[in-house]
Amino acid sequence: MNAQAQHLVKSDVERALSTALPRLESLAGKHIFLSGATGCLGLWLLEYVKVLNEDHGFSLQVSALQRNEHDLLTRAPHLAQFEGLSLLSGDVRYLDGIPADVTHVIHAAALSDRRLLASRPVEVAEVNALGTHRILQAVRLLEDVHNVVLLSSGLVYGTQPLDCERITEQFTGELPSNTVNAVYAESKRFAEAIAVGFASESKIPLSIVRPFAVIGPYQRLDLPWAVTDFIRDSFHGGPIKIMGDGTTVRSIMYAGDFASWVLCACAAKLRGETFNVGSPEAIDLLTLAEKITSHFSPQPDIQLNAGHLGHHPSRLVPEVSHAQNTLGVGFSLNLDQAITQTLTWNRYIRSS
Amino acid sequence: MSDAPSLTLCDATLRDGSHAYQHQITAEQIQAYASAAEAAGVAYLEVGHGNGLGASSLQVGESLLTDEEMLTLAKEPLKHTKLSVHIIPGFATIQRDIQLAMDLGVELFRIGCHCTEADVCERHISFLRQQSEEVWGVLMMSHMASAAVLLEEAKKMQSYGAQGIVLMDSAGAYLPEEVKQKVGLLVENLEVAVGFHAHQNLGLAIANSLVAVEAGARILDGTAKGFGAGAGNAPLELLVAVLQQKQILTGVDLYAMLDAANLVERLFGSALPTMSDVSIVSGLAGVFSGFAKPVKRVAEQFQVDPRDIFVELGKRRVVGGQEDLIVEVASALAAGKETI
Repeated sequence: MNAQAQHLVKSDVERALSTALPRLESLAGKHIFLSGATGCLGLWLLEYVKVLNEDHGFSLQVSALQRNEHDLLTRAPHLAQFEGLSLLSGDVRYLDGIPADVTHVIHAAALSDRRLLASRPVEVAEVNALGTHRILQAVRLLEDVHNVVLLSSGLVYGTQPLDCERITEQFTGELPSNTVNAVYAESKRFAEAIAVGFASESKIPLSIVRPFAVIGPYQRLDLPWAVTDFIRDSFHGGPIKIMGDGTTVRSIMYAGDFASWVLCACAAKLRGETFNVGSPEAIDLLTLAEKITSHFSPQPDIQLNAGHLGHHPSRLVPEVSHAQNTLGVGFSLNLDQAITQTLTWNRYIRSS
Repeated sequence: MSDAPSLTLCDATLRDGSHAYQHQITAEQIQAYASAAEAAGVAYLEVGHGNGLGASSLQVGESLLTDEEMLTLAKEPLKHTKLSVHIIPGFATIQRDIQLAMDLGVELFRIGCHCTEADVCERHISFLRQQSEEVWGVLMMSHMASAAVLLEEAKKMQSYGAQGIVLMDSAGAYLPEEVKQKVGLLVENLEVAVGFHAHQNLGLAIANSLVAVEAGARILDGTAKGFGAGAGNAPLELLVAVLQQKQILTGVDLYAMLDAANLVERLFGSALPTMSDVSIVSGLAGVFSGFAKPVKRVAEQFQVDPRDIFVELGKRRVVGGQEDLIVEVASALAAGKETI
């Protein structure tokens, strides 16, 4: 990764820390076990820890679990070696233990690629649910664990009614369980239930984080999601194809803020809390596509109704006041700024 | 910003017709027909070996021209009509064949597989979407799976990034109510556009295509004069005529399409498919239309009734790529043995 891209991310981290730093002080000198270290969130968390250690004297230790030995070296070589980092390799399903002096756990390892979900749903269920079981079995043996943060998903809520502006942590929507499509959401629901069970039996301090859509550096553009499709197709000159009429609504959070919120949840001395993590600002897909394509010249064409006629729009927007009020977290970038940063970072990456 | 047209017509004359011409379509024929398709205004012109990119082989028949030659020749006259290819993973590889097609200016990649094996398309579809190429998934021999299974497989293709899903009636075995059920279920549950590719074995290609549109399909395949495997496809000139009668916009000029059909008659003459006793039985047996010529050849060789071969192949539920079973079945029939 080139120096400009590294600098952009570091600047974002420093900007977020300018307000979040006091809330992270309880992590100084502690030891975090991080699963899913080479996913988008994992890489951002490592960026934060690196800055906290190098510029703010936190002396944090991180044991970062990656699935394959060279994942981190491949994706972000500058993060593969810094003071306090220990790299572990292995599959979360077969984890044989967590270092005994770990005080905090962030369990972010999961399979969320919908291509995998379609082809290998059983593996998705196994990694997401049984992987969580394995992690918590290991956590149960720790002597001094302060907090375990489980990364769940905003999809556990099921269908958000179109007339419901934002969904709170108490919302439950329609979620049929007898289809392959249900496997991802159900695996996350089961992971939550397993974690709550461990917390009850073994008095493990647990926080559940339910993330919604994000955008930002380290997000892989080969993933077939709307926002990644829009960005990738724009880089190739378009057109952007929207299956429906563009009225499907999402909300998009900057990945740097996502990581900052997760770190704050990890540092907070709370038990049994569940937080939505995402942007509360709704945006329809057409507007999102227009915002992205406006950064390109010539501006790629946007084609609506590329799917079948009568396409049903959907909505997924979280209420995040619980996280904001309880954790004191906020947004360092709005959506327009987040798009600019994301595209700039990708341009740096492409140029290198 | 733009809206997609209400119905997209894909012209497979220079690909499905390759089956009917033993893959011996010439440079002159490609150039002449591509110009006619452009004049007619079809959305996509599919070109290549009958089994798609990279398929030319002893097993399924060698093409007269290479993929590169065929695609280069077809691309030359195309201005508005987009060049398309059919791809079956296993025949076509990403580096050797797909990269070549991208370099030659192909604008639509239709990745096909047997209707219960969408998983094999993941790498091809994902690769093409990463390059921001237009890519559709094609479920072949779709009469062999239930609507629910087709939906599951179509959802896989959609999740890999396919921007359209086409159900192929490769054996010409569909009846209209089955088209309505299967296309309707996909339309109801997919985000992407759904298409239908008909064959004429039971004389229902146009009727089934219309039922597909009524069920919500937004893509129809056809070939001029029905030039295609087995009993042929939905004749495009007829399709355009009846769609015009039903006031469904396709962007295709009827007279120019009729001219293209006349051209195909001149270019391919006696090779144009007809509904025959054998093609009707193959439709009833649900066997891939592309088997017609090898079955006839092997039937002659072993002095058995080609209709019996198709019935036996149907019992074995054979699919494209299992052409070697034709000889086995014919040999057993000749010896008077039970084949299963």
